Amino acid sequence: MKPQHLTNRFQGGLVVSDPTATKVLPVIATGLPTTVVLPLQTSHNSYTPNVDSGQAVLKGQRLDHLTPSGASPLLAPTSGVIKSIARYACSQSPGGAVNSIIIDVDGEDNWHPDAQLFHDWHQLSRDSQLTALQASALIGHGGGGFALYRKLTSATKPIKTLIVNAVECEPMINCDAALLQTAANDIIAGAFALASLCGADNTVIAIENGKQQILQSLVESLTDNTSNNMTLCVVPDIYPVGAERQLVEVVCGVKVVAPDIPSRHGILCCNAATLAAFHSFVSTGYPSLRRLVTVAGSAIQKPANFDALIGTPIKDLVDIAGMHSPMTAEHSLTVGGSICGTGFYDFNAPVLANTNCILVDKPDKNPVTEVACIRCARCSDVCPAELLPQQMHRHIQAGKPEDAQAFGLDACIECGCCDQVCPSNIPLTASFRDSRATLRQRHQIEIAANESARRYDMRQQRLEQKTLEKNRRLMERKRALQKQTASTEQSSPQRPDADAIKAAMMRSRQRKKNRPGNDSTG
Amino acid sequence: MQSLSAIVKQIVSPVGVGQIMCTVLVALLPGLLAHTYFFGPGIVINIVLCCVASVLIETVCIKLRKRSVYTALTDGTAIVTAFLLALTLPPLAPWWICVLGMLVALLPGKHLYGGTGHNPFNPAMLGYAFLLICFPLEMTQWLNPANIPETQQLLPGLIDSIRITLGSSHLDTAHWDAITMATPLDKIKHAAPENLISTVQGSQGFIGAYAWEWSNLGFLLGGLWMLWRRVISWHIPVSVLMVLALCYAVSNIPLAGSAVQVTPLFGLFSGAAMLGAFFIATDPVSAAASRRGQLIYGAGIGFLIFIIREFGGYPEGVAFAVLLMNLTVPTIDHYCKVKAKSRDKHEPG
Repeated sequence: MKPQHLTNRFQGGLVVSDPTATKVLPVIATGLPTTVVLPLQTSHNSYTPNVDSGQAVLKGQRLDHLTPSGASPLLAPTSGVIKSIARYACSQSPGGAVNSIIIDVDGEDNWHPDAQLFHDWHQLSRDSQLTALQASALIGHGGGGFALYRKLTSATKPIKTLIVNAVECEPMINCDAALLQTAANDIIAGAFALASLCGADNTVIAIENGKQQILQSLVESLTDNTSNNMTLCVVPDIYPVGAERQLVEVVCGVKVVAPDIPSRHGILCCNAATLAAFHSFVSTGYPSLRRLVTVAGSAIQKPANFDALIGTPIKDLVDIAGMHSPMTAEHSLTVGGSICGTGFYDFNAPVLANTNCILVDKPDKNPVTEVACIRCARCSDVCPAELLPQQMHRHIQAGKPEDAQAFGLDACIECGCCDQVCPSNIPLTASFRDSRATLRQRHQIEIAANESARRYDMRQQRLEQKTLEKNRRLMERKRALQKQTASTEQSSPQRPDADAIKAAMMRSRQRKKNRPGNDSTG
Repeated sequence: MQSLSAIVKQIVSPVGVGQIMCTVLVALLPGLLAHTYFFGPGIVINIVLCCVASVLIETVCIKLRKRSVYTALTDGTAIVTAFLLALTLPPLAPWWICVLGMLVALLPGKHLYGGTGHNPFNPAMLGYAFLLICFPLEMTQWLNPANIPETQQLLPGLIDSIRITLGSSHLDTAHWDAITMATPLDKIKHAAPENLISTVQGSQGFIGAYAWEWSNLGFLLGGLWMLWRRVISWHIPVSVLMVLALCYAVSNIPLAGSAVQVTPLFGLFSGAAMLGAFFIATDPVSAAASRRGQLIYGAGIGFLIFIIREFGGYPEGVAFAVLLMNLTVPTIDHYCKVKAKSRDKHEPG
């Protein structure tokens, strides 16, 4: 198949020279970790556990209560015993820790009897396919962390185009490249399966310019899978072309601005690794509970892509990769890519379904100092979401993140371009991420407050109703009694037993008269 | 493995606030050289005085505000302010004019608002406006430009300039003819209608006002270099100059009622037009933030420069035009929220 070179561009972005772009790191399989950590609160999901500490769980067992909203379930990635449910480090939480289920792995890796959701995918109806997909808890491996089921069901228009996002434009991230080299067939099979599930007419596999090796392996795999509605597109190597909305703009020429989503325009964009996981699910019926994670950085001895169980502590992978010098507090840990990754401090945090890269860097010898914004507007020139970062930053600094929303804070894709060009070294993306988390939290508190206000009102109403009912019943009984009394008084004005008393008194008098000792007067 | 942030940083140059300000200073050099050639070394003395005053005032302010003096001085903004103010002062202005101007520029102009990045007004222009209003005599004593064949006149040398600036020697008006000469723009404005044509012709150089056209060309050159280095964007200078030229073009239409026949080219290459358009109006801190807002902001400045030059009491209007438009920046920013919208590029609309 001949790849199609696209020259479309999107607004902003950066041309990044990536020394690792052409190199594909080796894939290393990892065994079972000793501990597995599952956060109960991630960026898009929150779970209520249905298990307790000390309980034994099996691989693929559902660990959370059913939620009515149709959220993706939480599955145990392997068998073991729940050690505790407690606060634990999590790279996706702004506070750094969330309630998590911590499992002591028993090493058996036994599947739960209900874990296999079907035997033959193709015999399922579309609805049961979707239900099975929801139960498989397949979360997008790209970075956003959306459940694939939700992505499919959020479409308001029939899906016409499926884009396989094999673009890995951020320097250092390498896991998709490795997957494309080792399992291109799985990705293509997954793309076929998903295209038939969502009804897409054509499928576009997008990779970025300059990755010859991967292009070659894809071209070879595609000749084997002869198909006329699958195209291979090479997109310009401009960061962040791998971001969903930017890729859709380059491939389909449709600009999608948050909160709008591509699926409302008949386009579904899926990460290549998600499709490989989808393929493994479709072909076996078992949920996919592993993913590839790149571990690299200046402090790592042997950078590699690890095939790791979801929930594996980052520390385990870093230990396998090895570090040049013993780990210290000064070593910087970044989860995600080198540009848009979030700096983190706790190596105990687990690998999640959307953790694609872990970077460990040596302590920075000359850290940059942040100075005041001079409003040079470079950030708005590179912003792919066409925002004005410096204006949003100004409002955030003034303590008014809601004013930043008027400038489109919610449309920020957190790509980190603005950070890279800021002459004042202001960590803009981090401040936007934090503000959005704050606003989200505030919103949740508001919802919770409204909910409890509603519950309180309902309770008051119920209590009032109850009191009214009680009063009404009392009144009724009282009235009934009064009525009864009135009717008896009418029929016999005297007390009912008056005759009996009278008779008794007569009898008593009679007895006194007839007593022999008392007969003196007679 | 190379540090990643270093790789990414290479793609944009210059990288820090300090480097940006250094680029601005380098870009000022051609105009500064032309200025020195025609008006003597007085301008260099102004710059030295302003820089010394600037560093001292900045250090004291930063100490009082308990901030890092090193960070404040290395960002270079105080030096750029000093250069810009010095370039607008008459070459033989007394030393205290420089010091006072810097005091006003940095104290109320910058530090009272919170230092770099927080000043609503262009500090250098604030200092200049203050001086022009309070000391009109000292501020309008411009030298007759030298090194052009018509005047055949010598400029005071370096030593003489220092003496005059420090006040130990007075201007010998007999020796340096027409030392308090008006700038060409001023001359045209105050010329009697019957002499107007000859005045305009007498002030004419190759393209602009004589001597001034060269410093304007120098600043244009520096400005273009800054554009190329991506230190500034084209939006503000282009809108300032376009609107200014347009205003002159309209005023040249006989029906417009204005008797002054100043060509757009003369207007653009006279006074501080280029310095204003490329170096003063583009001060990012006090300018509008969005690109659309910058076009409005620049257009406002161009229009106000023309209005003040033509109808105001001052020969040059850049400072007041910039300060007035600085006032409108919050409003412009408020109405220029850019918000991208979803759209299908293939379908019209």
